[in-house]
Parts: sequence; C-alpha cells; structure tokens
Amino acid sequence: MRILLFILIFILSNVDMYSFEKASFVNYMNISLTQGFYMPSNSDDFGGSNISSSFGFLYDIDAKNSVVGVYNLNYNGPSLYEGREREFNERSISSGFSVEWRRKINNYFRLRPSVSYRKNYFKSSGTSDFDDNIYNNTDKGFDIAMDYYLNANIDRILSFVFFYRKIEFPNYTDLLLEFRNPGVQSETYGGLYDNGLYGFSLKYKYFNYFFASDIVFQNYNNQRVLKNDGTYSNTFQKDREFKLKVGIEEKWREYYYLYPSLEFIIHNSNQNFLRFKSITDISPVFVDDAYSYNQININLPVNFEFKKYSVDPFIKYSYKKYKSRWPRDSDNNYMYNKKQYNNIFTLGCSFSRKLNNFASVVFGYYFTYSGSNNKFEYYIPYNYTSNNFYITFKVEY
Amino acid sequence: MKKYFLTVLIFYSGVFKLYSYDFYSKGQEIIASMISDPARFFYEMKADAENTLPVAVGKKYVLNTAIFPSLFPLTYANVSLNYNIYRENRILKKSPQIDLTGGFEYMIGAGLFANQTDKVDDAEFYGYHFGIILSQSVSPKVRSFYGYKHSFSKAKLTVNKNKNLELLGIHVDSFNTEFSEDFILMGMEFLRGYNKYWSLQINYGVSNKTVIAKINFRGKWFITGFNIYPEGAITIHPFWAMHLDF
Repeated sequence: MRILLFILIFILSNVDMYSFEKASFVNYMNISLTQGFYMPSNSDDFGGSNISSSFGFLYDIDAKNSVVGVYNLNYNGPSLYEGREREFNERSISSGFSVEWRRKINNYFRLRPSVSYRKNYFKSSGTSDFDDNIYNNTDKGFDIAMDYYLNANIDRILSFVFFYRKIEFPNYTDLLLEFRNPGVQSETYGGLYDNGLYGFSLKYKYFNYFFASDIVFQNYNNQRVLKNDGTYSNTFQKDREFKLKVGIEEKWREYYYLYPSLEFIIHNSNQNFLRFKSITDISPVFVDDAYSYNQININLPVNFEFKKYSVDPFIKYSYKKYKSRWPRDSDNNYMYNKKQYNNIFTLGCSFSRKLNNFASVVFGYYFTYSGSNNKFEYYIPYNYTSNNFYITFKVEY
Repeated sequence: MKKYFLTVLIFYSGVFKLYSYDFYSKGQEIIASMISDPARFFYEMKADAENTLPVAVGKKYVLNTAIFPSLFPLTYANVSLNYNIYRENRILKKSPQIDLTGGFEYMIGAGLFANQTDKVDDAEFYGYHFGIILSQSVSPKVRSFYGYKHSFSKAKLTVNKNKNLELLGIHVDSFNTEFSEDFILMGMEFLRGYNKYWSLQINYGVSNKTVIAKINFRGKWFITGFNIYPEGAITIHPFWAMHLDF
C-alpha cells in the first residue's frame, strides 16, 4: 500500500521528482463561516448560516507560465442579503472548479485562458429538497482573458475578456403549460430554460481608479417568447445586458482605505409575461416586455485598520426600474399608470479582530430598507426594513 | 478562541431567540424532521463521532471516541481510527502528509429500547465511515488539510402494528432507510500551545448536498467544539470526544 502511495506521489510530482521541488507550488485556502440573525419587519425573526470556502493552488511552471486551480463551495442559508431580491427562506449551494493558465507573452501582454464548471442548487424552504428545485443548474464554460500592461509599474492595465457559458436547467419546466394543464408531467419539459451565454468584458485600471464594462448575450435554446394570446411564438427568448462600473480603490493613509463604486445596468429581454390572478382567471393580463429594466448600484465601503483590528462601515444603494412592467397592489391588481421600481438601501458596519496571521473573527450589523411601489409580495418581499446581526469566522492563507 | 465560538452559540440561540423560544414546538419540529428523513437525521447524530482531523505531527495512530452527544445520551458506541501512512516531506519536499481514517458507530440503546417496550418490535441504527486526509504545513503553527470521506448510515425502526408510537404527540411509523454520502473535506488547523490545537473545517457531501462545518478544539486527551449542520434538524451540535494519540 505504501509503495503504491509513493508511486502516486512520484506521478503527481510531474514524473521528474526534482521538478516538483524546483517549481513554485503554492496552496491556497479560504474558509468563511457566518452565522446571522435577521429581524425583518414583515416576517418573524430568523437565523441562518453562510459558508464560503475555496481551495486551490498556484503552480509556476517557469518564468512565463503558471497554472491556477480553484475549487469553490458556497452555501447560503436563510438570510437577508445586503441588497438582493430573494425569498428570505431560500437556501442555495454552489460548488465548482476553475483552472486558469497564465501565459506571460512579453513585458506588456499576458494571456489567461480558463475553463470552469459549476453546479448550483436551490431550496425554497427548510422542508423542500435541493434535488428537485426548478432553478437548479449546471454552468460550464471558458474565458479567454488578455491583459495589456501600459507601463512597467503595473499601475495602468487594460484587460479584455471573452467568456462563454453553457447553462443547463434539468428541472426547469413550462410553468404556464403546467398551470393550464395540471396533469402534465413536469419531467417532459425539463431543460426549457437551457441557454448559452457569451459576452465581452473590458476593464481599465489607472492607478487607483478603475473602469469596467460588460456586454452579455444570453440566448435560450428552447424557451420561446410568449404572445398576448397565451401561446408561444417562433422566436426564442433572448436577453441582453450592458454593465458599466467605475470606482476608486484609494489608500489615503496607512490605515484608511476607501472603495467607492458606481454601476449602471441596462437589461433587455424580449420575453413577456401572462399574469393569472387565480386558477379560475379567464382573462389573464398580458405584460409586454416584462423583464427589461435599468438599474443603478452605489457602493461606498470604507476600511480602517489598526494593527489587529479593523472597522468597516459601508453604505449600499440599489435602484431598479422596469421599463414596461406595472406594479401590483396588495390584491394583485396592476396599476397601469406606473412602472415598477424596487430600491434597497443598506447601512452597516463590521468590526473584525485578527486571531493570528491566518484567522479572524468579524462582528457585524447592518440595517436594510427595501421599498417598492409593487405591493404584491406573495413570492418575493419588496417592502420591509430589517436589523441584521452576524458573526463570521475566517481562515485564509 | 473559545469565547468567540461560545458567542456564536449564544448569538444563535440565546440573546435573540430565547425570549420567544417554544421548546415543545422545536421538539416536534425535530421529530417531524426525523420522520421525514430518518437516515439523514440519524446520520447527523452519528457524524459527530467521525474524526476527520489529521494525525498530530510525530504520532502514528489516533483512536477517537465521541462521548457527547454520540455515546451519551444517544448510546452510539463508536470508535474512529486515523492512521498516518506518509509523513509530510518525507521523500519529496512539499509532499503532503497522508492519513487514512475509518470508524464504526452502533447505537446500542436502540436494541435495548426495542426489548423494553412493546410498541417497537425492532430497532437498528449503525453506520461507518472511511476516507483519506492530506495535510500540509502552512507555517510552523498552521496546517491546511483536505481529503475525501465516505459515510454510511442505516436507520431501521419496526413499530408494533397493533400499537401507536408517539413522540411529543407526533405519530411515528416504521422506517428502514439508508444514507450514503461522499464528502469533500477542507480545513485548517492552528497550534495554540503545547498539545493544543483549534481547527475549522468544511465537509461537503456531493451525493446528497450535505453541508457540515466543524469547529474543533483539540487538547492532549479530549476534543471539544461545535459541529454545524445548516440544513439539519438541530443546527448546532456541541460535542465532546476523547482521543488517544500514539
């Protein structure tokens, strides 16, 4: 048995046992465990855990080539995220890996192709199952990134990325068809939401300032666009998204950092929506262009560091306005003279203490205000305030 | 360190929740969870006995027995053996330490309970685990470890058909289920002093999406800490185990 293990180690060490010693091989591990407690105004208080972990390596093959491999595992339990629209009780698990090859072409250019594979599982409540959620998906794809160093000091970098993802939803079913035909087996329609996603990302870093822009094209393989008579057209669903983000990573003094950022998102979808108020509703409302919106995100985190301690106050604001979707009142009636908007404001502060060079503990509090002119909150809560507390343990090297 | 982890426990179940805590309802919720997926429920009870820490430097074997809550009050007789098969850097520089781990858990109280009551004809709860743990030094006082573990748990209860078995007012039917899981492990261990360590590790079961976080404090003879099952019927398990290193 020992001999077999020794042989395995020899193989892992790239056949030549001395190459393993000569090359720079660095492990990486990051584990963060958070226990939060949330007190929203519109539901009972609840608690939940969040786990974020990654394990990887950096292997410098020679002066010009290196490989980075990372395995990630994230668990999000019941929680009230800082500015994300979701059900409080939803849980999710995301696990996957990526491998990136870094090739230094010359002093100005670096090529970074990578592949990734990820599985995402969701669970709507504590009693449901991770296996049968309709939003479970597998995400696999590749990136090709190119970095251009405009000077030798690495303070001006232009990065260009092309990315492609194939996203498969094995459980996703035609909800409209099932609603209209309760006897239909959902398994028949699994994969309806499968799509191919590709896009371009451009980032320019100028000293402590950065500018980033993403263009994303998402084409659905099977999902067709809904017509106003409740039937499907021959056109497949297509989503487009444009993102623009500017920010500063400013270090003012030895102990004082500032990271403000401003982001604009323009999301366009050709998909429509048919609202049935009840199972007996014979005159459903057709919402044309129901999923297109514009969004703005403002983020203002600050970091003060004092030896083993750090204090991190932050402010976040997000405003999303739908282009055509009307808001609903609490009785699920559309208000046709308005367009739906959602905004979320978060104000918080965390206090962290280093336990040693690799571990730290964080105590945090944040206040969340979520407001919308949409008062129908059967699925996702829109209007509430919440006081949230958490404690986090982090280990990292 | 312990004071921080105790704060977590207080934070989770104390300061904010006790004022409105309904223990009877929570008990019913736990029983309901047990009935809906008995094998997973009893797996979480026995998983506290699975020692997935690397063998201490300079030692060859670690014999581990979980006392609370596995042996007492759940009567899970258990033993876990970790065996060091390869020392770090022994042949190759930067090669990890390799340990094998395995163990068996058997609930002796289940059979006794079945014999003592006429409501239950038969009860059998047992499980085993085995795996491999690789560990590497990050600094003289810190080790990272990662690996694989397979766990199996069997939960069988045969209720007398002529009797009505109720726990906290909830009717319990017969069940005979198994739970098998393949875990990816990763964690870090810190030396606090002579023969004193603390560690944080994550176990992720890829077959059934089981997530476990373990916070351990290891002394010369005992290991204590918390096992956190975010999706479990009982989220935080305080535990206490005895180990013998030689």
